[in-house]
Amino acid sequence: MNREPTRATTSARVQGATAPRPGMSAAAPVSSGVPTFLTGLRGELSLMRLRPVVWVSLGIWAACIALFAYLVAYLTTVGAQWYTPEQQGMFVRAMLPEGTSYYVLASLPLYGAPQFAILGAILGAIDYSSGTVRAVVSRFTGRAQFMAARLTGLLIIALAAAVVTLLVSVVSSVVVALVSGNSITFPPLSALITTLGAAWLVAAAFIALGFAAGTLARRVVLAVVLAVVWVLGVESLLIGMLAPVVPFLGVLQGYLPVGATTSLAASFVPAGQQTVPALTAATTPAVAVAVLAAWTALAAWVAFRSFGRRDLA
Amino acid sequence: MNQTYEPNRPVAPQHRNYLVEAAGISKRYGDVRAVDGVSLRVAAGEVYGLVGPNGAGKTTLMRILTGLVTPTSGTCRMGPAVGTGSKPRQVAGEGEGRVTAGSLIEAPAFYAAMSGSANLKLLCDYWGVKRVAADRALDLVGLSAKDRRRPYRQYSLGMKQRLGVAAALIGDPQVVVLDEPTNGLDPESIVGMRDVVRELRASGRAVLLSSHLLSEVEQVADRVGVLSQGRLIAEGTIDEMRRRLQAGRWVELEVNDLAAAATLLHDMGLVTTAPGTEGAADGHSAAGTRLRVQLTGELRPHAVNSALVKAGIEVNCLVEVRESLEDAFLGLLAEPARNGPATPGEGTTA
Repeated sequence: MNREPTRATTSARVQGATAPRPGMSAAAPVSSGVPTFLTGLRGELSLMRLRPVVWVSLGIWAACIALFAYLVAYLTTVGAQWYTPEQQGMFVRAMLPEGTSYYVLASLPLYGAPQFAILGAILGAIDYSSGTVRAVVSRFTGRAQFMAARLTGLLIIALAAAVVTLLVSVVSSVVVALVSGNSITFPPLSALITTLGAAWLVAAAFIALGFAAGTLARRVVLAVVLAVVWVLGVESLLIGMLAPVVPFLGVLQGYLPVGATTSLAASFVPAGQQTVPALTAATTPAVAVAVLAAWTALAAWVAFRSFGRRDLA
Repeated sequence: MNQTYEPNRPVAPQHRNYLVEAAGISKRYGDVRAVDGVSLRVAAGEVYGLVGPNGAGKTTLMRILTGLVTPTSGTCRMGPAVGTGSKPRQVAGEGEGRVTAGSLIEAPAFYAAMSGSANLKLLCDYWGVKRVAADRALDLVGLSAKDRRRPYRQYSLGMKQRLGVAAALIGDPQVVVLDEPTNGLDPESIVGMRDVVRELRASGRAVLLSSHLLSEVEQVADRVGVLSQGRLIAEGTIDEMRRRLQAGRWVELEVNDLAAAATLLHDMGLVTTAPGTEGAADGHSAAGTRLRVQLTGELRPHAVNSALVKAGIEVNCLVEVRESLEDAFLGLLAEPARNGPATPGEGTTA
């Protein structure tokens, strides 16, 4: 017979092994794990720590805050000829430690939103390109558990982004205070925690929106283009520029993610204080929070539906 | 021979513990039927080989069984049936009584910047398996300590394949689905991989593996299903397949009286042809002294020889020829339209 002898050996392994062979006989206990939401979250957190894109993205975001919100803003404020001394004093005051509860939030709608959306888009699509999502999901009994774990992982990344935002703001503001010869006085801890919460909500919303785009597109480049075109092209440029002249767009702006972020950030700025860039609220803070939460929920729903219904071929 | 498993020993279907069960699975992509009404079962301690040419639907079927692809119609289940009235579920491995299923489907997929070991440990985290299971699986596939620390992007095709199989074996799953597991492996590693599959069977796992090479599958499989254009056109044990596909044994004879020999053997109920004249009307009309006789049942070559000698026909040469199952398999694939879909169970050949 053209058939090798059937051997129920307990020492079989592929040629080349150097390590001792563990027992894998019929008597060996089956130690299969049961993938759940919690194991999925553990895997997500392990993976996040190892993903360069997460660290690079948070690093770029930190650098952007330090560079544009503080260094460039400080140099142009104190060096510009067109500001009055009162304006210069006001702008520098915003950059001091006492302004950490609101100043850094002005960076979110301008360059925070696109960065978070891009990060989400990459995280949403990258595992389709590599095929790794198939390998992981194949042992989950339901895709919902896995997706819930992924989305929870994103909320944790958003929290890390919010912490980075506040930390860089604190460090940069201390440097500004030292350079400008001002005192170092921080706002109350409760104010800082509220700021942290606002930054977390904004980061979560845009990461989730980008992630939904990535889950839909399943291609990194396409997902990133979608995220950038929407956040920068449609919301910031098209609607942002036309809103002052088209009343409908002015109202609509407050219900879109970037507009709600601007409104939320503006609500933190004390009366009589100004930031660079200037922030104009389109809605109340409560509405802004509700809008951002609703967009986050919508993005999560889209990701669930898309991931749950489509084949992983 | 330390043989603890008898692949040809008949086992009554009702006594078998089927861990994989698919019923009437179909998958359409537009007008294309990737899988068309496939039903199959794989029992604990059984290796089921799925063979078919590229594009036959093997990978799609495996994706359906592992829940990666939703079938257009049909049901599948992984895990023991729960009670007498349990119905197969739509999604593999769902619900009570489920089993874990490890799989390597199509190409292995891992994070390129991470080492092989880190990749498997990450999977352990995702699947709720202790990280030591990663080392255990790597031991099993023979990836050296040095290699498992290298970034995955530096792996050769064979190393990638080993890592993919190791991932499928993490946590000793009760069902193992391997899509072309020997791709890219060197001959020694292929033999080792067969041993791994045999050991999985010996330890009570249900193994479903695919290949486009029947010769590869027949080395380890207890039963084989032949897929062609999405349809399961034949199914059975290797010997059943050989018998039913008439891919069995032949003897080639050199005799002094071809006509007399052919008449005698025909009277014995044997099919004869003259080599090189298979397409001829009478099968042995060419001039010459050589004749090919298909052996049926328990008939042995010496019995043919004795019959001819007793009849006064001189036999100058007798050679037993074993036609490979691969040839019969290719013949079967050549006419898929003639064959209806096979139904699950033992020894179904259309």
